[in-house]
Amino acid sequence: MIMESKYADIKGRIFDIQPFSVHDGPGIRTTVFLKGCPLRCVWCHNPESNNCGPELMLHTDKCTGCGRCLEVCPSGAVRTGGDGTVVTDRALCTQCGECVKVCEYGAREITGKEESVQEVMDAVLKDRLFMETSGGGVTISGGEPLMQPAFTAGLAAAFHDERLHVAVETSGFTGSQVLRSAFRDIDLILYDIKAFDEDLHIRCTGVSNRTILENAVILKKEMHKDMVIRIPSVPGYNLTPDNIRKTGEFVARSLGTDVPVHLLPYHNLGEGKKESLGRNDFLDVKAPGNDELKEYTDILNGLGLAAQIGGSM
Amino acid sequence: MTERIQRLIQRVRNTRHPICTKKFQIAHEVLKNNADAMPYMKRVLLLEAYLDQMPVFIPDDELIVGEGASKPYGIELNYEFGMWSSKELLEMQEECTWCYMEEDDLAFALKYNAENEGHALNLTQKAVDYFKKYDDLVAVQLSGLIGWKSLESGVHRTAWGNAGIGHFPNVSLAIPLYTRVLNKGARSIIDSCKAMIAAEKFESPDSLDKIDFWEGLIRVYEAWIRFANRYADKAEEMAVDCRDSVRAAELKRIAEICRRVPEYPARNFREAVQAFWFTWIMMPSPTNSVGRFDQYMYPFYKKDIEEGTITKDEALELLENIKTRCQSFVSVRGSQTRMGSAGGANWFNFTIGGVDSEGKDATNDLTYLLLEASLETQLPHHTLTLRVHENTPELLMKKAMDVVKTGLGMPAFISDKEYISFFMQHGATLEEARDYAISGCLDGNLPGKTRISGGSMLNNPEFLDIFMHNGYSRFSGMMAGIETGDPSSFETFEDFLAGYYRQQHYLMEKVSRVCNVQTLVNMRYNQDPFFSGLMEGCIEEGKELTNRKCSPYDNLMMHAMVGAINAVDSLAAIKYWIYDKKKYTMAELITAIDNDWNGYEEMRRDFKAAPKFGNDDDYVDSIAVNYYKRWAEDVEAFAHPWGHGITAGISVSTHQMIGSRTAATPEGRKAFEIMADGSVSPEQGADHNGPLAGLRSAMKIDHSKFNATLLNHKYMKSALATDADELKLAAVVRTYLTNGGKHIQFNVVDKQTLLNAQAEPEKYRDLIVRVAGYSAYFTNLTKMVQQEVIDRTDFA
Repeated sequence: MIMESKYADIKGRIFDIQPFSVHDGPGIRTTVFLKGCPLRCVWCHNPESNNCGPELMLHTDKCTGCGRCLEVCPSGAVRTGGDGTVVTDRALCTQCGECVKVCEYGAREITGKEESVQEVMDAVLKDRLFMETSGGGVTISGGEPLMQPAFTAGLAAAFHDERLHVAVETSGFTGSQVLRSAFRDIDLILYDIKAFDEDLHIRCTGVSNRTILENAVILKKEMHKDMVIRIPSVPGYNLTPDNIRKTGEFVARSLGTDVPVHLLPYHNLGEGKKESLGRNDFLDVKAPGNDELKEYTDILNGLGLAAQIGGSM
Repeated sequence: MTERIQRLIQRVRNTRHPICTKKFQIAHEVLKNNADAMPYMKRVLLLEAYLDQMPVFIPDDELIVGEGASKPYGIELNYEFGMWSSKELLEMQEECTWCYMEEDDLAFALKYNAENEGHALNLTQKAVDYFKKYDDLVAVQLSGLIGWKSLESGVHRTAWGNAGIGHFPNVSLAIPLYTRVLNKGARSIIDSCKAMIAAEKFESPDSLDKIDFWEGLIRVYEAWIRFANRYADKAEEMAVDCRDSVRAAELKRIAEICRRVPEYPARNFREAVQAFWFTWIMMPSPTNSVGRFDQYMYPFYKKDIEEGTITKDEALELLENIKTRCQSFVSVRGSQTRMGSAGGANWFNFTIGGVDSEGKDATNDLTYLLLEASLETQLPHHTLTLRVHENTPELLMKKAMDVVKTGLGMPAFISDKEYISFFMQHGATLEEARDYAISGCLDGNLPGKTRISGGSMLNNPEFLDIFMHNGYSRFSGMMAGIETGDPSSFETFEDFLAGYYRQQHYLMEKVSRVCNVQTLVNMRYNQDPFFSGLMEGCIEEGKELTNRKCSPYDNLMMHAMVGAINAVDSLAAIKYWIYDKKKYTMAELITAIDNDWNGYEEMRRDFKAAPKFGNDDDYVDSIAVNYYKRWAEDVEAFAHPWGHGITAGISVSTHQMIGSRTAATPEGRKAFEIMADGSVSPEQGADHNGPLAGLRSAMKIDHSKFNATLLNHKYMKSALATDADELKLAAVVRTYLTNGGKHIQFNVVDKQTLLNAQAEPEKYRDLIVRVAGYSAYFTNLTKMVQQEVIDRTDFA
């Protein structure tokens, strides 16, 4: 138990705390994933972060069909399918978690829970030694941290009090006042610009990027934050010379060439999780190769920007 | 890398190793003709005969000379362990993919068997002859507690061959003073012995033994000098016939070097390397240690570089030649090692880095060059062990990670802080302790000052099993321990634990006595005059190295623990389900493990789900802390022929072997499954909170009470994709090793390993992969994510 912080009781919704994260900022970090996001990126690799409330995830390849979940489900949402497999009717499921408790095989999971700043700190600070010796810290990710601004601000302030470096991964999609208060104690902003043209942004994420671009400028020019611009690079969507060039030009012009740009190659690790959540909006995109991405870092380098493939730092 | 080294690598990789009988024949002849000689004198005569009679030859391309066998890339059978049966010899000819016997050797071996019933000196059997008179010791020996040395299946009862000229084995956990050869020369050792003889006043009851000892040393070192000169003769002779003028010049230089060393001090790096090699081949054992090579060789390197007589590349080529030489030094025992990869496990440990005697960082150019030699040659032998302390340069850690990343599994990283603390707790001064190096796999020693004899590989869960059967060994089917009472009779976990520790203490005393007998047998029959010349105090006291106690920490014996974490997890599962949750009774558990959990599947799942070590969970970690403390105390509690000298250590490689003969255990392991890997690694797949939680659990244990501990991590190559990744892992290593951890090493695996892990997950529970920026256990991932990870491997 760490000394109680004045932010200790603020509560938020998280879906994971991932120790030994190495691509979410400098050094060895623990990443806290907040649940809930206003964007719906078609390539989302954390689909379990989309909604705010708890959700049932089913790992069907681990299910042995033992049937215990059938016995305990109070809503009658679990039943035996025609071929003997266990079928869950999500319309009836209330996410009560009774079936998770009895599943011995890890086939059922409730993702998302409420935790206080103190509880998160207790978990995160266990690795403090490794964070300090590696120049690491904590990264608040999501979901979208700006969906829970008080919680984000509380976490950041509490970790700052512990003299830990705090980074945030964000889409920047919020109002400017919320932005200023939520990120006051953040040391490093890993800032996604998913597309530059508004139309393309809406097509990829469901929302406009006007405030996102404005907020980027606020963070850099007014709040003087260390920033890295990250572009999830998804072939067929935003990985085009036009989009990368425009994004790069915006960074160079409005933020400055001291802001590095990281191209994060698309990977399909989120697709399996979509299935676990009962979704079927799969994306048929192949991960881009290094040779392909190199052409885009060349474009960005040509604009005077330090660009790299991947988020390693 | 030079073309020469490329050719040497090709050759050593593609060779089939001939098993030779020349050394065996020499020994047979010598011992037949000197049957009445004292044991020590026999060892002198053997060395003399090996050095004078083993053939000398210089293969193409070699810059360093000194063959370890009578045929290129050969293995010499050791007389001490006898000959394989004729049946096994013929099977080997059929089956072994990497070793074979040439016709002349096979003919000798078969003839020898016909005439001698297949046995020469067998040291294990000699020890058994002594302790078999004691029923309690026999009961313990049969009980399955002692890994290697069961009366029934002792692996020592098979022949044992390896490359090398000197005696083998049993003094192998010691590090000779290479500096004595490099800086003073063999002639000075002879002169010292002569001076001791001249000064002897015959006022001591063992004066005659001392004279014999010194005279023996003189004979052996004179023979060693003759051996080097035979190489000089050979090189000169070959130079005359050599049409390639470049090679001819090399041969002439080799001749000059061999005329000089090891008889006289080395004057430059090339001479020092050759003197090192001549010394090294005199201690042929898979656990042979090289000590702090980067430290004692550096003055020669530095001088040559400053004087411009050698370039960095030339020095690197010599280090790479040492690697190809070490790679060719394989060993062979029974059919099991022959089925494995060529040569089984050889450690040949080069210890690099660390602090100097003043506590300053001792890294130098050779430290980096040795890493570079491993990086370039990609040869698994020799091994590198990097001593890490707070001020180990970041650049060196990065270089080490460059090597780790290639999947070579080296260097291993060890903690200066913990090893130094261990030796100081055993009586060394700080300055002495700072000079420690690794012998064997991870066993610390002070060069020239200390020797450790391997006690036993102890099967930790078996101690608990005997306690849970009230002293009865399921392995032997007879009583092994004392009656500590019906295990169901203990009302609290604390009582249960106290009863267990009473049994452990009893059994440990028996184990120690068994090992003491072996130590004494080795002292009598397995002396090593050559090695004794390179240990402090031997010449001064006139005593062979196994027969002296030159300092409080000399002549220690070490018991290695195997499966300790399985025992810890078993205790935690018992506490959790029987005493805390009260869901099961002790009687139920005993019936379940007696039935290998058959019919108790749900109960087994529960016991598997109990708190496990490696998750930073104090419920089980506190049991571990106490268990390790008590274990070390019990190991150290018993007398040794040299006084208070038994210490606790670990085994690197026997968890599979011991697991494969051990019945079901309370933590949910089925009979014959593998044990946890190393001494502080979590059970495979038992740690769910990531690798750092595993380290935090391990850091709670007091490692300084153990000569060595071991922690293994497996990573996918992509986890080290960028320089930043490497530095982050380096930070993990440094943090662990400066905050209570003692050793950590990494295996970096490829796509094929992932496919194997998917097919046989139970064997790959400890494989860590990178999943989108964080690390996770591969076998815990869902099939789909596993597939995605596999698909990504090619891009990594």
